[in-house]
Amino acid sequence: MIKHGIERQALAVALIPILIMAVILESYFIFTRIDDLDRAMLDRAKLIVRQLASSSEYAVFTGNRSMLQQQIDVAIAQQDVSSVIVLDATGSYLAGAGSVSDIEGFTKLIRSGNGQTMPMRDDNQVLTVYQPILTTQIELDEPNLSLPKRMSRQLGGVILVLGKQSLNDEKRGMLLFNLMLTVLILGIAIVVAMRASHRITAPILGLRSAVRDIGEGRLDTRIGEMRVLELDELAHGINEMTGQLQQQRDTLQQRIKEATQELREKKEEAEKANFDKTRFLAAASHDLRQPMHALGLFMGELHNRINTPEQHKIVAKVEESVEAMSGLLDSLLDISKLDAGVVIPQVQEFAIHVLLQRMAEDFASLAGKKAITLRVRMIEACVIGDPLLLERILLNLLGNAIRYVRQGGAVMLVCRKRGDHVRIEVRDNGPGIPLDEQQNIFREFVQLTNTARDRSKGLGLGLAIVERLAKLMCFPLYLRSAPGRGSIFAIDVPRVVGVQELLAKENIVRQDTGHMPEDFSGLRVLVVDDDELVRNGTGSLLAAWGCQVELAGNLAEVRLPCDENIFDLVVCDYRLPDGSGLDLADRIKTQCTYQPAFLLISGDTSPAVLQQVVAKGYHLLHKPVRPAKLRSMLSFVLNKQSRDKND
Amino acid sequence: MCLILCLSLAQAAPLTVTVVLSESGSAYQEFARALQSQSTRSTQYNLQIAHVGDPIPDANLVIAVGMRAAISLTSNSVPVLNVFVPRAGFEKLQYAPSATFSAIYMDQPLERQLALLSAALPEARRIGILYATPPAELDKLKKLSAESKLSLHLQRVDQQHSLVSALTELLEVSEVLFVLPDAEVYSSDTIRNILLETYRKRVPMIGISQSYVRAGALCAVYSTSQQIAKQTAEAILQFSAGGILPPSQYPKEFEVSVNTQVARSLGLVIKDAEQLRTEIGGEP
Repeated sequence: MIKHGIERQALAVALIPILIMAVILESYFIFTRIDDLDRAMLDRAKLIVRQLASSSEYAVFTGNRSMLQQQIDVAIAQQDVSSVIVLDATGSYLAGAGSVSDIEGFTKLIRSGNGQTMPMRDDNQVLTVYQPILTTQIELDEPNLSLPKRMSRQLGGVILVLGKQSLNDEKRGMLLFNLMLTVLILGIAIVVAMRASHRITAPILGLRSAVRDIGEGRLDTRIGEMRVLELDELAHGINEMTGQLQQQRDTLQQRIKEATQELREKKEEAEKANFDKTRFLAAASHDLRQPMHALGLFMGELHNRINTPEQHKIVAKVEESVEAMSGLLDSLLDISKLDAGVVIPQVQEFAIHVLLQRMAEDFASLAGKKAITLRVRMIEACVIGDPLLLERILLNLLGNAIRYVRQGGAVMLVCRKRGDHVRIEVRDNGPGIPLDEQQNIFREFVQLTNTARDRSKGLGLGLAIVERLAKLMCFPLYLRSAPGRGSIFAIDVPRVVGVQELLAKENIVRQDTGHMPEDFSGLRVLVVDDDELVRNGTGSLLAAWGCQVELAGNLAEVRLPCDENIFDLVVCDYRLPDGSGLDLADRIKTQCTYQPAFLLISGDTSPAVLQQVVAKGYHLLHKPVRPAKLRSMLSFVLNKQSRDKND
Repeated sequence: MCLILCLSLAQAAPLTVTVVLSESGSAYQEFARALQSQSTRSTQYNLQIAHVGDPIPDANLVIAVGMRAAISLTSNSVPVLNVFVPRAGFEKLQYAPSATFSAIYMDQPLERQLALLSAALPEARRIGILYATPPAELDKLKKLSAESKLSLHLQRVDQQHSLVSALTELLEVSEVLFVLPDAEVYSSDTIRNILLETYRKRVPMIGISQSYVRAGALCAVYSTSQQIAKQTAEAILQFSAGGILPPSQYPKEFEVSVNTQVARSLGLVIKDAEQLRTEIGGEP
């Protein structure tokens, strides 16, 4: 259905009757006028022909052609008369003027004795009129003896032909005039109707646009006074409605604002709580690290000083405990690092089966202790990813599996191709994880079977770390488990397609993980730490490794002899009473021509510190630093230093 | 004698007379009224009026007015007096002795007409006569004209001579066109053109009735309806007295009419009508 605007409809309502009226009236007028013109012409023709017939009676009677011709000339001089013919009673041609044709037909007519004036031919071009010439009757009171009373005698006939040229011109002119008049009337009607309809439709259109505005949300739109009563009521209604809408919207917005505010506050509260938690963790781990660090260092030294097997046994126990505690702290630290986003995966191609093989070997003894069967099924493949981070993931998963599988159970490490990926699965036949807990286990400090929070079973950070690492490397992580039916943790790692690469990269991991025994004897080391215990511990450990150690409690105590042979290495605490370790590093960088290797140690696990240090290109160790780690870090830093120098 | 007649009539049953009019023309109506007035003055007869085609009521005498009435009554056994009939027409009809079938002609006697001619146009000598049927009184006319030293020019209209050519030829030689009744020549149809032709040739026409004068003839002698009625009433009286009708006769009284306009147009000096009437023997 075609929809028309109200304006057009109003226009149609106003115009159609006028149009019909105009057309009817005009056609009536035109037709009557044309009829009048035709009739007037016919009347004129009859008049002329009768006049001629009457005036020519005597001339015809007497056969006087010259007289007749004079009369004909008078007649033909009249307007529109194109030809005149006069015939006698026998139908013979007497006289005429103009183009004369077809006398035959008239002859017959005269012979038929028709005494009527009659139009012979009436078409668009000519009007032909015939008039018999009859004798004039004069009453003579005479008795007509036995003869019947006679009609007027016919003396002849006159045929008059009128051209319709001027009549047609007049008709055309009249038609044109009427058409123009009609157009004019229509034009005026259109203008008037448009104005009238505009008076009605303009307010409606105003209403429409107002409603549209309201629909588009501009609720402050109001409609002005309307001249039409009903429309005015409508406008009032719309205004009222809009007012209410506006009020409601304002209320709603207010509520939303309040709710948002509330939500924001809640969020801020939660963030603050989270921040507090992070800070607490950082602080706690820092505070714990200092003594742990010192403990570790002293334990290292203690190893060197004791000599009886009894003592070694005890020290070994103590060392074990310290190790466990240190591991727990490491986990906390890892979470902190991952949350801080400072862990950047070092993506490379490597042979996954090498890694898995080594891990299986590492865990074989642990599994053996719990009488757990550890089986490995793998394929040879080369994958893309950070081998260290992947190792951490698998370490956690395998560790968990072995931890939770009951004695005599089985753990399986499976690796197989799956399209473009390699799927690594850690399966166990442990207690399994209920479906509703399967998401929770990836949260921090969640241990399903450790409600007593036995710390020997870890902190419950393993899976949280796994999840974060997998997410970091964009490795999809899957869990399929049911209570009593074991668990399967799986991770998909992108595979490198092609054997050549696989062979080329086979030894990378081995090289990286290969330890080179380092000789630190004669190494000049500056140890800066405000904690005396830590400072002394580190100093004595390094001294035990054969280093020449110099100690400083703060930045002020540091003496920097700016000659060629100051220190080979600076081990500096990050947080110092009169500045940070970075200040010292900067000082060395600016003051000394010889740049010693620089190692920062921090108990502060806050991401900010980490980022700062990484940005400056220094190496940071988190307390507690186990002697082994310190040693490997020292060798790494020194190697790097010597490589830089060589370059 | 008149007194005796009246007495005898008074004793006898009054005469019933039916007037049959040819048509309700004004002249006939006038005649009927005039006759009626004559009758009431004397109360010697009862007058009934009928028209041609109407059943004719019983009467002692029927007066047929006009030719049609005359013709319609030819089979009537009642005595008929015809009035307003031309002599020629009546003589063709006559089937009974004039005692019961008589007429008062509407024509004027030739003598009277010729007298008018002489009185009105004393100079005119050549008289033109146009006819299609040879007039019954032609011989008489010839005789009278010879007596009056008038030369008579006769022109017949026939196959060889159309009306126009005959008229044209006649007018070439005539000083006056003398009309004798001839329906084929002088009719309502032709009179106008004949008159026009006479004007062109400047030949005056002597008509035979007042209509001719009105149409354009110079003058005419004729009898009015009253005059005829008067003569009729006398005939009725005679019939009632003797049971026989008087023989057919011309009208006794007459009038003369002159168209002075025509006279002026033709440049003629003519006496007035009354004078002419007196000259040709009309009673003053």
